[in-house]
Formats: sequence, structure tokens, C-alpha cells
Amino acid sequence: MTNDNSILAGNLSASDRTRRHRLNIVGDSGPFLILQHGFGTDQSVWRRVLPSLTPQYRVILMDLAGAGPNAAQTFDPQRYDEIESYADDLLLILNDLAISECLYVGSSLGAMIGILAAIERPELFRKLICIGASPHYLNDNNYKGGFDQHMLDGIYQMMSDDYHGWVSGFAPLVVRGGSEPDAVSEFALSLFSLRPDISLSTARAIFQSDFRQRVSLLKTPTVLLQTQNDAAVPLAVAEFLRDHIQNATLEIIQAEGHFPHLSSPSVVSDALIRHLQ
Amino acid sequence: MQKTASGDDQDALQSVLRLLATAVKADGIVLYTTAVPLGELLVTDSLPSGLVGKHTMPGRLLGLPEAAGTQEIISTEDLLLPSAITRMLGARPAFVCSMLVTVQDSKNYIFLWWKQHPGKEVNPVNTLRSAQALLEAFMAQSEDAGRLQRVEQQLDAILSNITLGLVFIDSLRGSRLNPIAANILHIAADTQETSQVAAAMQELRASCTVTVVDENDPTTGSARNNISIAEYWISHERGLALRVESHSVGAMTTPERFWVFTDVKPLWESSEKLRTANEQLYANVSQLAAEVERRVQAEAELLRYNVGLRQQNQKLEVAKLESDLLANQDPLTGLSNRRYFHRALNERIDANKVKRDRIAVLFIDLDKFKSVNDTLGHDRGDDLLRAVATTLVKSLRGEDLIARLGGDEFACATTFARELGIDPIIEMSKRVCRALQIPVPSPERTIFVCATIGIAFFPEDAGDAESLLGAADKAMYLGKRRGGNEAVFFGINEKRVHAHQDE
Repeated sequence: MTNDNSILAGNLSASDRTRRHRLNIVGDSGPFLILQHGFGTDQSVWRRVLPSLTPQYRVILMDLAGAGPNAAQTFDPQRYDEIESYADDLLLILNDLAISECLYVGSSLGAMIGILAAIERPELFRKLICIGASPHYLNDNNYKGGFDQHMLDGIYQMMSDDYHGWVSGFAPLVVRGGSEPDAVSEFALSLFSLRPDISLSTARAIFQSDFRQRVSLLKTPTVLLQTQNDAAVPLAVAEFLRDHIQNATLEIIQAEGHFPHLSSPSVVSDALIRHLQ
Repeated sequence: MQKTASGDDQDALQSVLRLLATAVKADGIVLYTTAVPLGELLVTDSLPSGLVGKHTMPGRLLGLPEAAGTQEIISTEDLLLPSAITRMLGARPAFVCSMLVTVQDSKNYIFLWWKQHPGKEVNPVNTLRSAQALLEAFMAQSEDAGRLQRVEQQLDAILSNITLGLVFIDSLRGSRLNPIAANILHIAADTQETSQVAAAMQELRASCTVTVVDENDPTTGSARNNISIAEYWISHERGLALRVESHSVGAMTTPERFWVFTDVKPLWESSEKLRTANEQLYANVSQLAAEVERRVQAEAELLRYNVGLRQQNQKLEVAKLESDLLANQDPLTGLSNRRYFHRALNERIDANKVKRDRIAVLFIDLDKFKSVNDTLGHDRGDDLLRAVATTLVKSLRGEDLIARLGGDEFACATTFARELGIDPIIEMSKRVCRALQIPVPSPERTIFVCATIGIAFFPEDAGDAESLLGAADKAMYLGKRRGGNEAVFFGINEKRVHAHQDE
């Protein structure tokens, strides 16, 4: 049985979509720049990086379905068990905004969404910058995604049995150290505010996806920003992406963890400004 | 969500799609149905497979009007496609053609995808039209299959979870039972062989006491119309109390029936208890009734006894009276006897002590009585005595005492007012003497019976009965010595003056 979310998703008006995804455009002039957050956070994760970008760009911020304050309304487990649905959402929004061209910065899941969208509508995206992107998380024959199935099963189990306990362990692991002492607690709080079942569903969809073949269809110029000690994305994955995306470069930035824009925002701002030019 | 058809049907549908794809040189086909609530599209089948069961946004996303497929091959350049299509095909298709297929009430779309344009000679519309009928048949089938699957799932859910035992017996197609029924019948739950199931039911029925449910029982009222049967199967050894109903499935001509086993043990047990309690109650009531009966009878008995007692009392009183009477009566003549005379006389004396009226006591002795007895017999003697009694009664007043003292002796007592003097007494005595002159005829001669009377009176002669009688007796004796037939006064001489009295 379909729930309200999927009914509305397709038949929403533009204004509905704007509202549900809390669409925000910050900045008065310049090219459109999309900042897309990933799992466990919402658009507020960019707040430390935002001020550096708004002078030059019109920054588009939005919440993914199943994220932010509207999470429960927007999330539909049947629809979002495929990551492509997020890409479809993005394209619909860009359609609503009648944007013909933009720059895109995505973190983690946000990066993957950008890649899929750019494969679908190459003319829309001038450049992609991916922070902590991974096409596949499971280890394979020659591919080191970073996780085994039993590790993932363990994660799912913990999220299911003791969500708070899992968050308390997961947050410091992925956020790591940096210039911002509150980064870990900020991320933890963000995760806490998610409904555990939505969180689990999203995590599953991400971990069980495999876009290794798909990424080779990407033609858009892509910059891969990789941190040190990213618990979710080993360096080998970043290298894989660089090798399989036609027009891709890889840069290792001086930051740690999976959320450098949270923990070391200045480093990220720096890198972004450089690559967006 | 509309599920796909069974495996065979799915394969067949895939074959059709493959056929279509080959005919139009398409790289992919997606079959959407809109038969889901509120206008979404659901992939029924796809080639390559992989999108089956996916929801997707409706036509707006696909850039195509919803009302009908374009039926032309168009470029996807300006279209917003679902990213999943790229995944399915491994590349973003450059061309698309869609067509509307209507099956029953649901709108379905076929989308054909090409990575490159297939060429002008390819006309998908004709191909699609000719395949339409086939597609419609398959989609209808898959709908039916979906429905069938849903019904099967529902049936499975019921059979597994219901707390009744259910058995379907189809003589032609095999039987089916749920776990509870299998448990009751002691056969495996997956037994399908009808003969086995039927045999197990027969065996169970044979080992139980079977009662047919009452025809007037309202719960089976309607069942009777469907030629259904309801019975109670009770077996104490197995600890079973079952209500077994049997109904036909579908039209009555089909050879399928289903059986329902309901555990009514709690009901049965409580009804047994009720029955026992009833019996007990009935026994108690009977006892009570018997007791009441007994008491009623006892009361009647008592009543009769009381009546009897009363009657006896009455008899006793009568006897007492009679006895009293006897005690005071001379049986021969009916006059009072000596005892009574004494008592009565004393009473009169006592009553008279103040007034001092005269009470005259007459002592009467018959003369020649013995002659009568000897000559004429005792019976005539008795007659005579009775005649004397009668005479005395006639001669005296009602209030006077008259008694037979015994033998041929009689006594009388009369009361005279003092102021009357003694003359009336003398008069009376002479009269009585004259009355007692009774001639008695006998064969030889007439016996002239008469009496000698001695008279004494209170208070002059004596003060009590004994003494008065004694005095009168003395006077009588004197008369007897002078020849009898005379009234002799005890205390009065010839001069008619009492010896001791004061005039």
C-alpha cells in the first residue's frame, strides 16, 4: 500500500516541493551552486562553509527526502530504497527552478546523487565536486569498498536495537577531529533527531547500492575531495572513482573524517573556492 | 501492490516483451500500470528485467502527457527520465516511444527505449497494435494471477492462524487441512490424499459418541438449507469434545466439502456440570416433596387422632355420666338409690339449716311382697316394685326425693314450709299409704299388697339423713308390729303433738 509521501512526490506542485525540501537560495548573484548534504545530516551541515561561498555564488540548499524537520513527511521507504529516487527529486526541483546550468557540491550520499543526476542530464551540470563519495561500500573480489556484509549487518542490528547507542559510537568514528570541537556532537545531534527507522532505511539503501558500472557513464568534469581517515570511504575507493570517471581529478585535503565541512570547514571552503573557479 | 503473475506467466510475458523488443529493435521495454492508487506508475514488467515492482513518478517526470502515449519515436534529449532507466539499460536511452494499453479498467503504458534511433523503417505502433491483444491477455492473466495469489495468501493466513480445525475435501482434486485439523485427526498437515483424510475422519468419528445437533437449534437453522450437517463428537478417552460442521463448497454439484472442527470441550464440560447439578437439584426437590408429603400425612394422622380422642372423650364423659347415673340409680325401678338418697337428703338438710323448714322422711316397706315373689315369681315381683315406684312418683311432687333403698324398701323426702305445720305431713303420709294398697291378682287368690310407712322429720326428729332414716325406720317397725298398712310417726303421739316440740 502506498503512503501519502509517494502519492505526493509525483503529483506535487513546484511550491509543494520547495516547501517539503526546505529549498533555500542564498546569495544574490553568480552562478547557481548546489550544496547537497548526505546521510545523517540536513542542509544545516553546510553552515560553516556557506559564508565563504555566498559572495560569489547563488547557493541552493535543500533537504533530501527523509532528512531534516520534514523527514517523516517526505520519506517513503518504498521509493527511496533506490538511490536514483533522490536523483529524480533533484532533477524535478531543478526543473521547477528552470535552472539550465549549475555547479554541484555533494557530500557522501549527496555526491552520489549528483553523479546520477549528471549522468541523466549532463547539460545541467557544469562541474561536480564530490566530498567522501563512494559508489559501493562492500568489499568485492578486487574492490575494497571498506565493509563486509557482516559488518553492515552488525550496523543495521545496532541501529535497530539501540539507536542511541549506535549514534554515540558512530558519530565520533566518522566525524573525527578537526578545528571544530562541536562537530561530533553536532553530527550526533543531527542523527539523534532522525527517526531511527528512517535512518536505518536510508543507511540500508546506501550500503546496498552499487554504482561502480554507472559512474563510467559520467561525462561531467568531476573533482574528488578525499580526507584522511574517512571511516566510510577508503582511499582505494576514491582512486577507483578517479580511474573510472572520464573527467575526474582526486585531491587529498588536510582534514579528517567523513564530514570535513563540519570538522574542518575552512579547509573545505578553501578547496571548494579553488575548484569551483 | 499488484504482484506479478506466477513464474510461468512472468516468463511468458517476458517472451512477449522480447518478441516486441526484437521486432522494433528496442534496447528496453518497460510495462507500467497505473492501477495503483492516485496516479503513480508501477512497473509490471521490464526488459531487461530489474525494474519490476518499482514505483515511479507519473508522466510528468517522463515528459509525456498522461492521457495517451505519443506513439511516436521521440528523442529523450529534453525529457526528464527516471534515473532507474539508465541503470536498467546501462546507458541513458536517446529515444523513446510509448503506447497506451487498456486492460479491463486499468491504464497501462508500454515504453520502448532505444539507445540509438532504430531507423525510419521501424514502426513500433503497428507492432504494438498487433501485440495489443496478446499483451492484454497476459496482463489480464497477471491480474487474475495476482488476485489468485492474494486469495491464496488470505486462505493460507486463515488456515494457519484460525483456532478451528478446517478440512477441505475435494474428491477430484485432493484435500487440504490446517494444522489444528491435522492435530485432531492425527495425520500430517500436508496430507493431500483424499482417501487418507476421509479415513482419518471416519476413524475419529467411530471412536467418539456422536450426537446430531438439534434441528431446532437456531445456529444450524440456516445450515439445514445448504444440506449441511452439524454433529457433536465426544470422546472421553481422547479428551475430545468437538462440534463438527460440514458445508458444501460452491455450487452443490461440485464434489467439494469443507469441514469445521470447533473445540467445545469447555462448553461440554460446563454443560455436564450443569446437568449433574440439575440432577442433584431434582433429587433434592424430590426428597423435599417426599418430606412434605410425609408431614402432610402425619398431620392428617394427628387430626384423625385428635378426632378419635375427642370422640373417646365424649364417650368417656357419657360413660361417666352413665356411671354416675348408675351409681345413683336403682336399675330396676329407675328411682334413685340409697346412696343418692343419703347424699341428696343431706344436701337438703344443709340447705335448710337456716330456714328450718320441715323435711319429712318416709321409710316405706311393702307388706306381703314376699307372697307375690313366692306365688307369682320374681318377674311379677319386679313388676310390682316398678308399679310402687310409679305410684310414689305420681303421689308426690316433682321436687321430692324418691328412692328405692333395696328389696321392698323405699324412702321419700319432702320439704314443707314451717308455717304450714305438721298437718300436711300427716295428710300426705296417709295419702301415700292409701295409694300403696295394690291388689295383685294371682291364680289362686288376690294378694292385697300394702305398705307400712315410718315418718320422721327434720329438724324435730333428727339433724342428718342417717338419723332421720333410722328414726323413720323405727317408726315403720312399730307399724309393722301393729299389723302394717299404716303411717306411723316417730315423734308424734295420738294427740298429734310432737313429744319434743314447742308449739
